[in-house]
Amino acid sequence: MGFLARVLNRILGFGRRKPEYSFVVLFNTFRQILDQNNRVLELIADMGDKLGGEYIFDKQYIISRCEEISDQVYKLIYNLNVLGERRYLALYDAFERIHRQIQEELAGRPTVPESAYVLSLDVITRDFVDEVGNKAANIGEIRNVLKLSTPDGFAITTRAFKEFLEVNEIDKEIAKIIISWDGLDEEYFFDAAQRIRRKLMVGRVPRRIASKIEKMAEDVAERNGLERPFFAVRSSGWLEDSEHSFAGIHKSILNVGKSGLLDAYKTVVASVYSCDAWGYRYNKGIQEHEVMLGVLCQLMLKPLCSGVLYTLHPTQPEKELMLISAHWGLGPVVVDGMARVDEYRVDRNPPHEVVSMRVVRKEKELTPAEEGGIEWVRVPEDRQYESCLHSDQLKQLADTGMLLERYFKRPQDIEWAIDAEGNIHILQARPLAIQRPDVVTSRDLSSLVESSSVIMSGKGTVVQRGVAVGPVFVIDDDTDISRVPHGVVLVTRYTSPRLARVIQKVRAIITDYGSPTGHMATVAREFRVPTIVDTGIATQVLKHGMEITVDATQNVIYEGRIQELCLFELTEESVFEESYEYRLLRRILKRMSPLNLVDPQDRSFSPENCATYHDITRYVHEKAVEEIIRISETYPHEMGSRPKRLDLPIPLGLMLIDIGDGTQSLPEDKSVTLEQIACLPLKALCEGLLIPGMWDTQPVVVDFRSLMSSVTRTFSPSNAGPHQIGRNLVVISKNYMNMNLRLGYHFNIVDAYIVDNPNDNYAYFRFAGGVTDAIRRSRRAACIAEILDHFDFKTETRGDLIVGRVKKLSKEQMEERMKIIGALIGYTRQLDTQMHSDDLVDFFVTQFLERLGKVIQVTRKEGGDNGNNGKEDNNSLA
Amino acid sequence: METMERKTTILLLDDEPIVCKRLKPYLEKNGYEVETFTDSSKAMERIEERDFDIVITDLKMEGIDGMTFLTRVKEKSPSTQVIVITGFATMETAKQSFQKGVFDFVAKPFKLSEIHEIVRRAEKKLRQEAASM
Repeated sequence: MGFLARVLNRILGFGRRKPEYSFVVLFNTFRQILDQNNRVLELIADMGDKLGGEYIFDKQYIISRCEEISDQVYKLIYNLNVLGERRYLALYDAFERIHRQIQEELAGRPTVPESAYVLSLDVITRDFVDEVGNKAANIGEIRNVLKLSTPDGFAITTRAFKEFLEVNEIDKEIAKIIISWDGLDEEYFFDAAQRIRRKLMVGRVPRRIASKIEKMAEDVAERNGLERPFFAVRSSGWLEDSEHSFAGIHKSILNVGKSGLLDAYKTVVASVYSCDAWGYRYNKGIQEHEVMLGVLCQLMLKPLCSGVLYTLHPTQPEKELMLISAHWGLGPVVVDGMARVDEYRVDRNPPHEVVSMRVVRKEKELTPAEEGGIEWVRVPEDRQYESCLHSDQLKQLADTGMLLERYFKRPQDIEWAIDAEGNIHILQARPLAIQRPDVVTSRDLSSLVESSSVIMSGKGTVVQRGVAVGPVFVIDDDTDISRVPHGVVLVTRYTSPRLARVIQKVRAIITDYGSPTGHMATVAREFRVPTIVDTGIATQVLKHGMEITVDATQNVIYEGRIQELCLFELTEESVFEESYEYRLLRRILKRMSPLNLVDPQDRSFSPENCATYHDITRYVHEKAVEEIIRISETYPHEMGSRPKRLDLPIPLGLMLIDIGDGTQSLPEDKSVTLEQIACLPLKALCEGLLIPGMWDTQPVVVDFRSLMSSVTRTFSPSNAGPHQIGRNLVVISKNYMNMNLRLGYHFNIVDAYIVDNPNDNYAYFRFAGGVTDAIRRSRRAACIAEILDHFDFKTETRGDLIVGRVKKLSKEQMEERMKIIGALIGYTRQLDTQMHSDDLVDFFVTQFLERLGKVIQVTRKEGGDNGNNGKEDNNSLA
Repeated sequence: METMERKTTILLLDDEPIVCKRLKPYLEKNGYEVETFTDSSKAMERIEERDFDIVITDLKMEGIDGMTFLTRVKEKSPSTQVIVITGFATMETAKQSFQKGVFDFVAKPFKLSEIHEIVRRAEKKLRQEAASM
C-alpha cells in the first residue's frame, strides 16, 4: 500500500490497522498483569503482616522487599503500555515519584511532603501527620472526623520547619554535632545544644513563610469574628503524642498575639533542641532525621475551668476508673502541677458514676492577660471551695474520653477546657502509658476466658490481630456506609473496598467471605483494626446489637464483654512499635499500601492521582480489563489463528479463534463441537444457552395463554431466523473468552476469565439493542438486571443498555455464572417484543428462575474480595 | 540432675541491633540465658572465654563473617548447636554450609514461635547427646 493510500485509509477509516503485537502476545501480557497485580498485593500484605509483631525482621528485609515490589510495579506499568499502545506513560511518572520517596526513606532522608507552609485546622486529619506532626494531626482528626469541639486554628508545617533550618544553615550545624559527639561528653553536648538554640532564636523566618503565617492568623481571626486574636502555640513533632509522649519536654506558649507568632514559633522550635528533648530522643533511639516539627496554633480560650482526663487509671488499670483533674482558669495549673487541684474518679463504664471526688481550696487561677501572656488572678471567695465540675459535666467528659480511647485504641491523656457556656473543648489528646496490672497475667486471663461462652472459634483467617469489645453492627450491600456508628464490631457477608472508608470508626471487622490479601484487609492492617475474614458463618451467628468480645489474636469470638482481655491488650508492652525498623516499615508502607483510587468513574481515577503503589496496581488492573476488551473489538480480524465454526444445535453462527488450548480439535478441522471445547467460560456459557426453554422461547405461547393472551398474538418469531444472525466471533483460550455476539438486532459482549484463583476471576456481560420501542427495550433491560442482581452480578442499566459484572468468585461459581449468562442470552434475545407491561418484568424473571432452577442449583456469592460494589464497576458502560 | 536445672545458654550474634533487641527478651521470657552481640569480633572474643549450649548467628556481617565465626565455635566446642539466621537471599549459601555441622537454618524474617521451636529441638539434641556420652 502506498503512502497516500495509507493516509487515505487512515482518514477514511478503511483498511484495517494492525495491532503492534499478536493477540497471543497481548493476551499473555494481560495474564501477566493479573499475576503481577496479585504478586504486588501479596508482597505489600506480607510487609504489612510484619507490623503485626509476630515476626522478627531487619532493615535488610525492608530494603529487599522494596526492591522486589518496585520491580513488579514497574513491570505492571510496562505491560499495561504494551496492551494500551503506550497510552499510559503518565504512570511512569507516578512510579518515579513514589519510588523516589521510598528510596529517600530507606536512605534515612524522609521526604517532607510538599505541602503549604501553613494548613488550616479545618482540613487537617490523621492523613496529614507527615505535614503537621502528630499533635496537630490528632487534633484535626478529633475536630473533623469525630466532630468534637476544639479551638479553631492552624498548623505551621514540617516543610516550613525544614526550610527555616536550611535558610539559617542550622541543619548543617546539627549534622556536624551528631557526627562529632561521642555520646558521652556532657559538657560538649550542653554547649552544642545551647549554640543551636541561640541560632534558632536569632534565625530569620523566610518572608515566604512568615507572610503565610500572618495571613492564616488573620483568616482564622476573621472567621471567628475576632479583632485581636490570641493563640496558644504548641509543638507538634512527628513522634510527639505517639508512643513517645514527649510530655512536657517541648514548649507550649500561651496567649500569643499576632505580632508575637514568629517569636513564639522560634521559641517552640528551639525547645526541640533543649538538652532534655535531645536526651529524650537519644534514649528512645529516635534518629535526628526523624525530627520533623510542625507547630500548632490554636485560638486561645478563656475557659471557666480546665484540666486533664486519663481514660484509665495509669497505675491501677484493673479498677476500671478514669481520673479527672480540674482547676479554675487555664490548664497549666493542672498540667504543670502549679497548685493543688480538684480530683475526681469516674467509672469507665456507662453511665459513668462518680466514684470519688476531692475538692480543694483554689485561691488563685491563671487567665489570659489583656496584652498577651498569662497571669495569676484571685479566685472570688465564693468559688474558692466550689467543685470545678458537677456530675453532669463529669459524665460528659467521661463519654468524650471513651470515644477518643475507642477511636485511638489506646488509653488517652486528654487536655480539656470548659467555657463560660459550659461547652467542653478538647485541647489535645495523646496515648497514655499504662503499667500492666499484676492481675492481668496470662494465666488468670486464660482461666477467665475459659469460663466465657464461645460463639465461634478458629473460623476464617485473621487479617489483623488484636482484641475488641463492642456491639455487633451487621451491614449488607444496601446499607448506607456513612451510617455505621463509632465503636461497633462490623459484621458483613463479604469484604469490600468500600468498607475502607469506615474502618477507622469501627473496633473490629468480621466477614463471612473474603480474602486476606484484598484491598479491605490491607486497610484494616494500616489502621490496626482487628479483622477476621472468611469465617463462613459470621452473619448467621452474630446478630445486630449483640455485645461480643473479638479476640483476633487467638481467633475466638466470645459472647458478652470481657474487659480484662481488652485491658491486657491496652497495656501490652509496645517496645516493638517504638523501634526504628517498625517506624521505617510503617512509613514505607504508607507509600505502598493505602488505596486512594476507589472509584473508576471518578475523574480522580487517573495516573496523576496515584499516590501509592496500591493505587498504581488498582489503576492498571482496571485499565487492563478495559484494554483487552478494546483490543478484541478493535482488531477482530487480526487474531492470528484460523477461525473455526462452532457447531451447536442452535443457530449461533459463531466463529471461534483459539489463542491457546481453548479447543481439543485438530488444527485442520473447520468446525468444533461443544464436546471439543476446553475453554471453561465458553463451555459453561454454551451449556446455559442449551438449557431447555432458554433459546427456544416458542413455548411462551403455551405458558402465557392463561395469563396474557395478547402477548402471543403480537409475538412474531420471524426475526429469530438464522438468516438474521451475523457472523459472530469468540476469542478463547483455556481460561479466557471474549465474545461479540449479534443476534438479530441484539448485541451481546461477554468477556470472562476463569482460573483456580478466585482473585483473578471476572465476567463482564453487556447487552443492548432490539427492534421494539425504547420502553419495551428498557423493560427487558430491567428484567435482565433483576436476574443478574439475583446472582450477585453488579449491574448498571442506561436505557436498553445493561452491563453486568461479577468478580472473584470460585471457579465453580464463575462457571455457574457463565451458564446463567448463556441462558440469559438465549432467553432474552426477543423478550423486548413481549414486554407490553411493567408487570411482565416480574413474570419473566420468575419464569427464567424456574426454568433455570430445574437444571442447575446456583450457589450464591462466596469468597473473594470482590470489588463488586456498583460504584466501582460501571466505568466501561458507555 | 544438675544439667536439668541449669538454664540453657544462648549466644546470639546479628549485626542488626533490632534482631537482638527483640529476640533477647523473648528468649529470656521462655527461660533461657541469653547474651547478645552485634559485633562479630566481640562475639569471637566471648566464645574463647566460655562455651554456649546454643549459638544463633547471622551469616552476612561486617568484619568476621558468620561462617568463620561458626566454624570457630564448632572447633572449640563441638557439642554447641549452631542455628543460622539469614536473609532469604543468602539461604542457598547457608544450606551449602551444612557440612560445618550447623543444626538448622531460619530465613529472615521469621516468627518468634519458629525460632523457639528450633531452639527447643536443639535443646533436645543436646540432651540426647549428653545422655549417650
